[in-house]
Amino acid sequence: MAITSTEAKQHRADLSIVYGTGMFLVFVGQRIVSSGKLAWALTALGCLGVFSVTVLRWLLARKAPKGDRTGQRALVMLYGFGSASLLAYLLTSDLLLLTIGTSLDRHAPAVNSAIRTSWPALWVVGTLPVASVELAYRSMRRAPVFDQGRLITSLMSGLGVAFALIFASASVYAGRISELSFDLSYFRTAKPGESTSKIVKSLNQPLTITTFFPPTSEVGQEVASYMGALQGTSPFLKIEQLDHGLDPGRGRELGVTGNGVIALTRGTLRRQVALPLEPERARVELRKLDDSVNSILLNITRPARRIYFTKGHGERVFKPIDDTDRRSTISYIKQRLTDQSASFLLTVSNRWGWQIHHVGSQCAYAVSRRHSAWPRHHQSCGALLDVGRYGRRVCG
Amino acid sequence: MSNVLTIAGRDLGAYFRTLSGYVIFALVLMIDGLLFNAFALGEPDRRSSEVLAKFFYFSSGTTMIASIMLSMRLLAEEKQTGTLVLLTSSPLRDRDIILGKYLSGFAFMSLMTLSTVYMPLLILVHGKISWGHLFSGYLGLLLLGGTTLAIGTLGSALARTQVLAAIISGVMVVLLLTCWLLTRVTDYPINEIVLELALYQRHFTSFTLGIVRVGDVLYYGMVSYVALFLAIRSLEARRWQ
Amino acid sequence: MIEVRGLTKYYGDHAAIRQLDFDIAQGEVIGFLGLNGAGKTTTLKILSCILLPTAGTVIVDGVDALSNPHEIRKRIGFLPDTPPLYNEMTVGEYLTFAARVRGVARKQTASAVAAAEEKTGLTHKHRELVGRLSHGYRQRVGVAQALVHNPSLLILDEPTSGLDPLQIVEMRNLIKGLRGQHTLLISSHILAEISQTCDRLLVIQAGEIVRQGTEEQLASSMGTRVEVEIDLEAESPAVLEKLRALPQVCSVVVDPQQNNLVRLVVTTEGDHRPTVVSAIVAAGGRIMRVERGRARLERIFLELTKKKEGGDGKEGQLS
Repeated sequence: MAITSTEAKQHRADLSIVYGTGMFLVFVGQRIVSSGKLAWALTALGCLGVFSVTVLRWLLARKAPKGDRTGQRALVMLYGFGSASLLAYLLTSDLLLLTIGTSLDRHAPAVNSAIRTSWPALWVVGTLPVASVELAYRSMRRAPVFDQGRLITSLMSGLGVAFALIFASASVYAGRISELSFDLSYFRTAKPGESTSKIVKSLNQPLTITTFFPPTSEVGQEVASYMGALQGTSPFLKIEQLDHGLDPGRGRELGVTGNGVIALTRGTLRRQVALPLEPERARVELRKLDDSVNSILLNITRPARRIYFTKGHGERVFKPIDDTDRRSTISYIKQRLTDQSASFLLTVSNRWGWQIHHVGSQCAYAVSRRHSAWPRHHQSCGALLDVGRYGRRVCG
Repeated sequence: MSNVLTIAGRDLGAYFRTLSGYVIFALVLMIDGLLFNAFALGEPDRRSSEVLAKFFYFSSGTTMIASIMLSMRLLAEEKQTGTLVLLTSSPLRDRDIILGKYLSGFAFMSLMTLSTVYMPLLILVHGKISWGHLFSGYLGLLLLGGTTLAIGTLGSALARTQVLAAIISGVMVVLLLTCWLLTRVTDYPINEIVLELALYQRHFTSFTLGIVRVGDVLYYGMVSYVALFLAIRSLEARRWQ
Repeated sequence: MIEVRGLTKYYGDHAAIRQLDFDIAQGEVIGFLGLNGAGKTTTLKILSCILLPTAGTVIVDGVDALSNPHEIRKRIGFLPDTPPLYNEMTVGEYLTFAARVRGVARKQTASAVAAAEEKTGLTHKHRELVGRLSHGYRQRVGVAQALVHNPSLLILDEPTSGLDPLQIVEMRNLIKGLRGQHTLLISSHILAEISQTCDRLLVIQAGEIVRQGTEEQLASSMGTRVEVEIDLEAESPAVLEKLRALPQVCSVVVDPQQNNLVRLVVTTEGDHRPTVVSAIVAAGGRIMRVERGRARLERIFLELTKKKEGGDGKEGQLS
C-alpha cells in the first residue's frame, strides 16, 4: 500500500531513543550506582520512560496509515516485551521488600525463580529487534513509500538474532550446570569433588592426611596433585607427604607398614586408603580416589552421635539371659551403631533410674521407652532434657 | 546441502591452489614444532601428561591465529575481487554461502591441526599418554579453531577488505579471550556471564588435561552458531543496503 | 516477460533511481543507455535480485522478484561490469561450479558447460586457467557463466568494456548469436554497440528514464533533421551555392578528406537525399559516396541528457 511522502515522515524514531535511554537508566540505577535514593530514582525515571513510550507508540499505531500499521504494531509488540521484562525484573528485585516489606520469593519461590529466569530473555526479545526495525525505517526515510516487506524482514531478522542468543545462552547454561564430563587422561585421577571440598572447608577439628609414596612414584605425584587441590582450603587440614622408607617411625605411629598408603587421622580416629605403586595397576584406584577420600572424611568428621538407651523393664538386656533368649541385645545394637559412626562408647550411671549410654560426644537421636508415669519433676526430666539439648529427636 | 558442499569444495580447492594456504600450513607446523621443542621437550623432568598439556596450550595460540588468517579471505576477498556477485545472483540461500565457506575453512583448519599429531606421538616413545588424552586435546583444538573460524567468518562478512576482516575478527577474539578480567570489577550475575564467555580461560584448559566437559563443547558450539548466524544476517543485510 | 513499476532505490539520501517504469517482452534485445552514474548498474542489480529496491515492483514471468527472489535467480543470468572470475580455476572447472550454483542438476552439468562453451567460443579453452586468459576471453567466460544454466533473461552490464576493436566485433557477434534464444538486456555507454545489437533502447539519466523506444522513434521524437554525408571528387563553389539555395537545406559543412576528396555534411529538414543529389549533379559535382549520418544516436543521446540536465526531466514514452 503506497503512502505519500508526507505520511512517511510521521514515523517517530525518537520514541525508540527514549525507550533505549530508559532501559539504560534502569541498568545504571540497578547495576552501577550503589543502592540508595539515586539508584531508585534512576530506575524510576527509566521505567517511566519505557512505559510511557510504550503507551505512546500504541496510540500512534492506532492512528497509523494502513500501509504503515504493520511496522508500528511490531514496535508496540517489542516495546511491550521490553516493558514486561522490566516489570518482571522489578517484581524479583528488592523493590517489593522496600515498599511492602515482603518479597515474591517468600510467598511463591517457584514463580520467583521462573520470573528471574525469563526476564532476561524477554528483555533481549524486546530490545534487539527494535534496533533492526528502526534501521529499516531509517533506510526508507526518503522513500516515497514504506516497504512493509522490508520492515517485516528486519523485524524477523532482529527476532532471529534475539532467539539465537537466548537459545545459545540457555544451552551453555544447561551444559554448565550438568557438570557432565569424561576424564580421558592416563591416570584419570579425579580432582577433589565439591562434596569433599565442602567437608574439608567445614572442618572444626584438626585433620591430618599423610601420604606414603616414594618421591619418584608417578602414582605418588598423582596423589600429590589431588592433595594439592585440598591444601589451604581449611586451617584445620594438614597434609604430609612422606616416604615410608625414610620415615618408618611416622608410619608406625599411623599404623602404616609401607608405601602406597594414604592415612587420614582425626584425633584417635584413623582411616587408610591403599594404592598400588605400579601406575598401570593404580589407574583404576586413582579414578576412585575422590570417592574413597570422601567417604572416609564423611566417616571421621561426622559428629559422633549420642544415643540414649533406657533399661526399661527388662525388654532389652545387655546379654541374653539364657539359651532360649532370642531378643537383640543392647550390646549387639551398641556394636552395630559403633560400626556405623562411633568414635567411642561411654556408659554413665543413671541418675534418674535410667541407664544411659553415650555413643560419641554429641547426640544424633535418642531411643527411649515411654513410661506410663513420666516423672513430672524437673529433675526427673533431666535425662530427657539432656536428650533434647543434644539430640535432634526423641523416638518414643 | 549440495549447494553447501559445492561452495565448500570450491573454496577448499582454492586454499590448495593458492600460495596463502600452503604458507599458513607451513607456518603453523613450523611454529608448533619450534615451541614444542623449546618448551615441551626442552624442560627437564616433566610428566608425560604435562608435556602433552603444554603442547595443547601453545597449539591453541597458533590454531586461533591461523583460523583468523584462513577466515579473512572467505567473504572479504570475494567482495574485493567482485566474485561475490556470482553467488549472490545465483539461487543460493545466504546460509548456504556462509556454511559452505565456513565448512571449507574448517576442513582446511582441521587438516592443518591434525597434521601436528606427530609431535605428541613423539611423547609415546618414552612417556605414558592415553589416546583419550590425545583425543581430548585435539577435540579442544578443533573446537577452539572452529569457533575462531566462525568469528572470522563473521568478520569477513562485515568487512570490505581482507585486512579489515582480519582486524575485526582479531578484535572480537581478543575480547573473548580477555573478558574474564572483567570479573574483578563486576558483580553477580554479570561476573558469571563474562567468565562464562571467556574463550580460553574457562573452557579450554580441561581439554588439555584430558577431560572433556559437555558444557565446554556446548559453549564452543553455541559461540560458533551465534557467529555464523550473525554472518548470515550480515550477508542478507547487503541486499537491503 | 519483465514488468517494472515505480522502481526506486535510495543509497542514504541519494536517489540512484526514481520511479522507473518499463516492460520487456520475451525475446527482445533491449539496450540500456546512460552516462556513468545514471543508475544503470543499480537497476540491473535489482533485476538480478542482488539488491532490493527501496520501493517499486519487479515481476518476471509473473513472479514477484521481491517476495520470491530465489525463483527469479534461476531464470536470470547476470554478467556484471567486472566478470566474477576465479583466476585459479580452469575455464571448465569454473563453468562447472557456476552451473552447479545456478541450479543445474549434476547429471546435466557437463552438457550445460559444453553448450555454454560452444556458444561463447570457449571449447578450445576448456582446460586453460582463467587467470591466464586475455581480456576478451575473460569477457566470454563471463558471458558463459551467465548463460550456462540456460536462463530466459540475460543481463549484460557493459559486455564490451575494455575490449579492443576485434574483440568488440567478436562480442557483438556473440550477442547477436544469442538473439532468439534468450531475452537480452544490455547496458552500455558505447552507443555504436547498442545501435547495432539492440531492438529497443531505454535511456536513463540521473535515475530516471528519459526516453524509451527504437532508435528511429527516438530520432523522430527529437525532430526531423537528417544529416547526409556526401563525398565529392573535388570541391566546387557552384555546388555549395546550389545546395545552400535549396530551401530544405539547413546547413552545409565542408570537410576536406584525403586523396583530394571533399566531404559535405548536409543537414536537411526531413530526408531529402534525392533532392540534394540532384542539385549536386546539376551543379556539375562528381559524387563519390552518399550516406546517412552515423552519429545519429550519439546526437540523440546528447540531446536527451542535455535536456535532462536543463531541468526537463519528463519521461517520454514512445511505442
